[in-house]
Amino acid sequence: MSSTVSDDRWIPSQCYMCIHGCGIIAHVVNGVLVKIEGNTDDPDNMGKLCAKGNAGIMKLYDATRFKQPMLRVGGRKGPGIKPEWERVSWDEALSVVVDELGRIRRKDPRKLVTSIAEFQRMWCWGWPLAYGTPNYFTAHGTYCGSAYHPVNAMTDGSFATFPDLNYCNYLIMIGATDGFEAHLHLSGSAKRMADARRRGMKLVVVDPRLSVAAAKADEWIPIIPATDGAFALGLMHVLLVELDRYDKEFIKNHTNGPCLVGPDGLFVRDERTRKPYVWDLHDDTLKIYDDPTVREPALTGEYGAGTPSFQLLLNEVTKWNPEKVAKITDVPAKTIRRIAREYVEAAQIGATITINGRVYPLRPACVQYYRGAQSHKHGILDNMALKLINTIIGNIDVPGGHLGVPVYGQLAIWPGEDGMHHGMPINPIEKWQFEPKFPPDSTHLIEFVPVGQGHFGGGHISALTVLEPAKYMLNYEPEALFILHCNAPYNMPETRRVLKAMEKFKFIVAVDVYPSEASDYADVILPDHTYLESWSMCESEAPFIIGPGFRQPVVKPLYDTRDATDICSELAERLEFLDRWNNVLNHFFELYKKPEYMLEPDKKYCIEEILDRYFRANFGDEWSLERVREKGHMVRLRTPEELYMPYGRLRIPVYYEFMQRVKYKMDRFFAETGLQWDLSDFRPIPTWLESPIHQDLEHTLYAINYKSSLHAFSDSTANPWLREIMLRHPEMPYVLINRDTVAKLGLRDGEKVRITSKFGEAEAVIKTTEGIHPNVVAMTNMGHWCSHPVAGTAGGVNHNIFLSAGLDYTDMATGVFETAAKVNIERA
Amino acid sequence: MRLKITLASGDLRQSLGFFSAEIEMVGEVLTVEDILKHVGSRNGRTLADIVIGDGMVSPRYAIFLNGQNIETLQGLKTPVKGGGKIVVMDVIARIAGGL
Repeated sequence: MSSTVSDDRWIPSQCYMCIHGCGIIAHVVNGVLVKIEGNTDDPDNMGKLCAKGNAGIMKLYDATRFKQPMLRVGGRKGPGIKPEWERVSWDEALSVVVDELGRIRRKDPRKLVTSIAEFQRMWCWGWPLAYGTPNYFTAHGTYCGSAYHPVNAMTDGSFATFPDLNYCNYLIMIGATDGFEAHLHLSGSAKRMADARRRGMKLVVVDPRLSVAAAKADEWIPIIPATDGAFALGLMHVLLVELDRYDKEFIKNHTNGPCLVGPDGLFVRDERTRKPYVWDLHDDTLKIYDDPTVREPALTGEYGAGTPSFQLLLNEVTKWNPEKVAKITDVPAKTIRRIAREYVEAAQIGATITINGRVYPLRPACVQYYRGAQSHKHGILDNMALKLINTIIGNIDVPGGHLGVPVYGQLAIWPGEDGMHHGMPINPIEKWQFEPKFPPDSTHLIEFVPVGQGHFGGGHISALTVLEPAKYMLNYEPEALFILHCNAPYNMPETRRVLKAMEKFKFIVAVDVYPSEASDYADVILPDHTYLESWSMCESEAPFIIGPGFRQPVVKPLYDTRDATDICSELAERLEFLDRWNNVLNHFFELYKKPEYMLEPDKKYCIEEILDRYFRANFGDEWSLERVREKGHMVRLRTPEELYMPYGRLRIPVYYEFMQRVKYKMDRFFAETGLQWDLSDFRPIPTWLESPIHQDLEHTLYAINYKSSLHAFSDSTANPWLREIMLRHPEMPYVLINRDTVAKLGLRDGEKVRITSKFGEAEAVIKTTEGIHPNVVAMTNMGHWCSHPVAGTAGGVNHNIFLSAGLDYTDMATGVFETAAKVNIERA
Repeated sequence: MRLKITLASGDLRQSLGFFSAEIEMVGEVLTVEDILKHVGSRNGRTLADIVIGDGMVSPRYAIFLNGQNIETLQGLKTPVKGGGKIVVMDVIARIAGGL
């Protein structure tokens, strides 16, 4: 049998096997996708592509894809129950959805809860707001940084962070695997990390598990989970108290460290200008911080008018000597001292570098951290400590240091009313506004959790409120759930509680590509195109580059599916809120930059039309969709001017006064309402507080979840190529446990065990290793039970089973939940 | 001078009766606030009456001048030149778009 190649093309597009969107080129022969490679023309990933990206082809050709709209037949829902479906037309399916959601919208739109994790079409996150419900959440809290993002924004208007691998010489990575296994733009980051290591950058990894990053590092330091913030405070103690080595000039001139704080914890401000005062040691005078006559602002001491905020940091850090920290973290005191000394010596405080004729500070040392380090009960405090160990050596956004990464575009940094960086926790286009409200409107209680992006961190709270709305002060009963590429039952903590919440919804509609634990609960399936059949653009927390990647169909849609944006528009039109939805799109795509491209209120636009307007409004009239299609992407490297010192003369915080102001607002609100609420996480200076897992003495081992480069959230486990690699992996299908611990427990390598926490239990097979702290066990993205034949039969165990969704395990400032558990293990 | 004003807000469109309009104003140095006071609604209130509260842009709205949020310029006192394009939007998309 012979075949003829009549059409052989390489088509540029954007990957969506994780959220970040590497540039890809798709080899299509006679309309069939045969290969995906990294796009060498894209400066983000420079032609590199991870296993997920290569395996994307199997998402397109997944035989179990939803091929047309479907309605559920048969009423039973639950784990292990395979849903039965009736295939219907789009019109029939949409009519059912519109009837249900229309009825709810007329009655009380808050009764609709939405669960959305569509990262490359983030405008869809605004669909619920256009509908009229405040209830939307993503369900990736186990893997995300719900407390990390707000602290980044408060510091320098960033969303994420990354070490400046161009110049960094000494990198401490805590609870993160950037450049090795996960987090920002892995394919490009791996190349940049490899180049930095080849250049001689020393890498120290602090992690309970010998991660890939730790295995390749110069040094691995195992640590007890959820004590990373204490470790950072210990490092600061050594630098500030024992060595007196930190970047005093940076603290004096670029931070609020000299600003005087009054007994109320707020800055002492000039009444007219609202600017904080400092104490000038040169002439012993009180002056406004930006008074040009200030010559020697005090960082330490106490003065009649107030105390320099840096002194308050010093006061706190003094409490955290290495001996005390060692007892908490299990990192020896001498190691803490040695690492602190190595770090500050590598920082070259006082050094400068000239780039493109401009002189910058050079601080080639950085502490990078992510989910493992700070997604804990007191995540906001952990993040502040981990940020400040960077700030005190003056490495924020300077060559070699700790770079802020915007979610897209530029950092959201601009002056607040006092002329310093606004210091707000999210990256708003408008002013940050927060008013606690009783009764709350939202199922994730965003009204009481003001600092985080509630839909990120507080999503799990919806499981509590849906089950017991009155207990959590809601004055309505949630009725329906709208799912858009989100898998709450698998991804959210305390699985058994989440499943009960899923069962409680009277109506569920899912927009997705193939079956998941979430869509198994749906009453209606509205099938989306895969990323290889659809249009989009995405710029998502990219270090070093700016500008959107571009997604275009590389093959025609294989089935009777539709684009998710078009589905949202169709529903908005039928539910009679198209004007509000178009307004969301006008805002998100920044079409207001050229009003002639703004979407008109009552006209429905397809995604191609919207993208055409987006590129013209943002890049110039000549940038039609067709022209962008030819170019393949709009990504370029950031210039040094964009990358370094974006805050210019705006001061950034060592003292998070914003947290104190919010605390007062919360204090007043709760005093007036008589409600009880834990406000211990609202502090302007970090400390370290125990998590409930540290207090749980009934269980002996900590359980952590780790990320793999093979997977992003839960979606990729349905991919047969990735499953094959995973099942052959020496560690991934198993629960990792230290060899000595196994011996103490009387167990054997490869044995089946029962793992039990306060919140759930499961069976798993253990794998012994020396590469894990003796008090810790670790597992990764396994343990699916959905009806997808690949994901649902891969084995392993789901970490979320062992976690708590309770408020007592939640950071009450940001909504992040404790992502480590305490468990017992015994022979099954 | 001539200016273009666009109302990306269902409520504002209902009150003022247009989505996008060109307006003519007299004056050498006008501010955003001047222009909002110039645009009248059907019930006699001005656009300024609706979108300004306590001397500030109401939290319900965001105002853009030539593509820039006026909060990052000089607020309501931001000067506007001929040919300027003002967009007044609901902040419905604040959390989604302003992440």
